Amino acid sequence: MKQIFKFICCGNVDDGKSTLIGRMLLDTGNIKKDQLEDAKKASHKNGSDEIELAMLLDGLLSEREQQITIDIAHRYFDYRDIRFHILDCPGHKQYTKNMAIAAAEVDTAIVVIDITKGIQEQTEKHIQICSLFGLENICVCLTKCDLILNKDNEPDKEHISKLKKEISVLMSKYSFNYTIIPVSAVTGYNVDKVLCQIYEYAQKSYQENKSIRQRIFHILAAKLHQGKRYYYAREVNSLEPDLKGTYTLWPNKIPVTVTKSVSHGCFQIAEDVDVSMGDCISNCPLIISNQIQQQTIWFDSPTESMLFKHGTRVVHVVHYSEKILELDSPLIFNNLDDLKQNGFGIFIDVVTKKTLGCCVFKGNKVNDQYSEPKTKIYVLSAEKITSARQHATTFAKSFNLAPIILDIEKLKEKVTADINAICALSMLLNEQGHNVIVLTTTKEVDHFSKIEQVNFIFIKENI
Amino acid sequence: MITHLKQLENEAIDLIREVCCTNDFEKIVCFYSIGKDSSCMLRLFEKAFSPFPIPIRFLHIDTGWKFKEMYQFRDEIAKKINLLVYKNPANLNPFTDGTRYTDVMKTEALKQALALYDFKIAFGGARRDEEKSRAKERMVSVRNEYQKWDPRNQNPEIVPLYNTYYTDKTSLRVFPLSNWTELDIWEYIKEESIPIVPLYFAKERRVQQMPSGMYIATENETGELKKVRFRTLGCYPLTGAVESEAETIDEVIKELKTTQYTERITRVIDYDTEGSMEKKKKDGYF
Ligand SMILES: Nc1nc2c(ncn2[C@@H]2O[C@H](COP(=O)(O)OP(=O)(O)O)[C@@H](O)[C@H]2O)c(=O)[nH]1
Ligand SMILES: [Mg+2]
Repeated sequence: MKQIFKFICCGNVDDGKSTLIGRMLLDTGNIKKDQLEDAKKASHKNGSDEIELAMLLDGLLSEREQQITIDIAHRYFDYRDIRFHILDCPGHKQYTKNMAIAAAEVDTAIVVIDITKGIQEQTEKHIQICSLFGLENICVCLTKCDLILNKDNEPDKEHISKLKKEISVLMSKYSFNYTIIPVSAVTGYNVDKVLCQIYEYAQKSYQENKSIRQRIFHILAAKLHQGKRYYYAREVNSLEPDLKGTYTLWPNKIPVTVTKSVSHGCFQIAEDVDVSMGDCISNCPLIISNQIQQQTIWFDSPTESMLFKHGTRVVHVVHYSEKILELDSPLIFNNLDDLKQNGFGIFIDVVTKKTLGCCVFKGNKVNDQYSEPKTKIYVLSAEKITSARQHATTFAKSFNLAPIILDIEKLKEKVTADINAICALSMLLNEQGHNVIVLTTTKEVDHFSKIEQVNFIFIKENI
Repeated sequence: MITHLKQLENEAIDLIREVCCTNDFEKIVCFYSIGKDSSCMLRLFEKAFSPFPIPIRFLHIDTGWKFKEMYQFRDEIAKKINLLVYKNPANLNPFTDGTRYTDVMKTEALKQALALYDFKIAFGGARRDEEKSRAKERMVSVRNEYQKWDPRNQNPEIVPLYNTYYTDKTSLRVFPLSNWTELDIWEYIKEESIPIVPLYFAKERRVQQMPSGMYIATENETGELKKVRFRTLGCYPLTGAVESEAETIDEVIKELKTTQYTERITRVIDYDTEGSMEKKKKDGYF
């Protein structure tokens, strides 16, 4: 039985990351003849007689021309009973964000340091990012050892031990489990040792995962089928298929019993409860808060109006400061140090929909008093009507509702009805069996929030 | 604990569900190429929404030059799913129109179809191990208003915190099979008993040898008879066959474990110049 193990390879530009990975792929028999031919051709084009192993990874034309890695490359190789998934990171300062993204997904890193150059600014930066994202294992590879050979054709011991000392000073600031291995990707020296080390980390992680009993599911949708309600959810760390048992439903902290898991991430609940996208079920304590202590890495500048996504929950950012993130509704989460996969979220710009930053949750306390006000009002900020409408439709669909959307502004334009008439209309429609969704403005929300027959209200501007 | 195949399946199903549950079904399509990866995608969609029917439409970009067996297979599948078929009326010919053929009949056709149906999100079965520029691709990849891929203008992606939003100016391509290898696909086909086009299995077929040494299927009786199979399927004049004895799924898996070459060598389109796939992707090709 094979397991997947993900790790990153990072370090300063030109220190030999791509070459080392190329060597590992080659030595484990994971490079085919045509790939090798292709890399050979590209190497010749760049004026090299030898085959540049980095060419096996640097795939974009601009990368080959500039001979640097710009974006993360994903590579896979099978070694013994493990499927390794390597994320080869760019080392250039300009592309540090790409390295940070990769670090968020893994527990283990290879950090390469060119033995002839020693620790560089980017080396330290990358190690710092590894620490921010709570990585456990670091295998420091001192590369290009073929360049410091002594008379006996061996890598110079003094040179190595001097650098080792510097590294241990740097590492003493952090709590990694680390080893240092001198290597040469060009000659293949000690590359087998690196493989064994990574294999050991994989085995360790496999053993640890086996003992994990925490289960956390982020709800995606609830759907009705032949009188039964099915819930779709994404598990934070899906390692076991069956999920029958008792859980807590968040944010309202109601106990629920999962009676049947239909397929991966699809199940039924015994109790008749109200569950919607962004809710959580778990068998362990979680933190609920809309005032979150965090540290953020920005890929782009923060903007006026931002969404925040964690799990399957998307909320609005009210205020961001370096320490505290304030949101318009709470998240249900862990601190990164307690459970990495549930310990960060992303900022998305409301207008451009670009991912702007990654936010790591640190130092938040479990708050037992918190309980979310029960409401059926959803604020949609200053977005355009079209996207509000789209949102409402999606929302209704996730409940398997055939919705009637009353867009109040539009209605007022078309029929010269006043607000009371529209209220009456929504009641009538509901009585006829429709699920009524109202799109309205802050000013008029009170008219509708009092009407029981309105199932959901969406507001088009920020309160 | 679950196997690596199950982990890959879960990752794909989670992505499919997330993209579909956070967007309007009418705006979403899944490309269907009739090939083995598409067959796996279809199964993943079924599993993602079971016990409900698949809520989105599938789209086949036809060129008129697919293998006969592919059309037969497609028409059977079309009975089970909501399949749209689109063909560029330009009707170019792969023998006489050269590289323009792929540009017009595949890339252009794809853009035309997306515009025609106003799709904003398109699923595809591409894998990162297929080609080096694909190894840099996101699982949720942004395209600009001309459907072009700009590798430098992609969202930072932290799996599984996907950004599934698009704007008036952008659209998305989604690749649930990103982290699968060719061998994974075959092991999945075996485990799930997924039906595939018989061309993937070795049989005596009429072929013609190209200057590169590769075999191309011929539709007439002049070709020489060889026992071959296809590792990828596309337009028959552009798809190379490999000599093979693998007649069953188990034999194909065994063959793949020892083969010296990647499946890419059988695709004429990838092979013309360095970085040609990257260029095609930038133009909007899948
Ligand atoms: N002599 C020697 N050169 C190396 C070694 N590893 C990498 N290089 C060279 O260092 C340069 C940068 O390597 P590359 O892998 O692209 O670095 P990256 O930017 O960290 O990915 C290339 O010219 C490589 O040929 C090594 O072990 N020995
Ligand atoms: Mg590199």
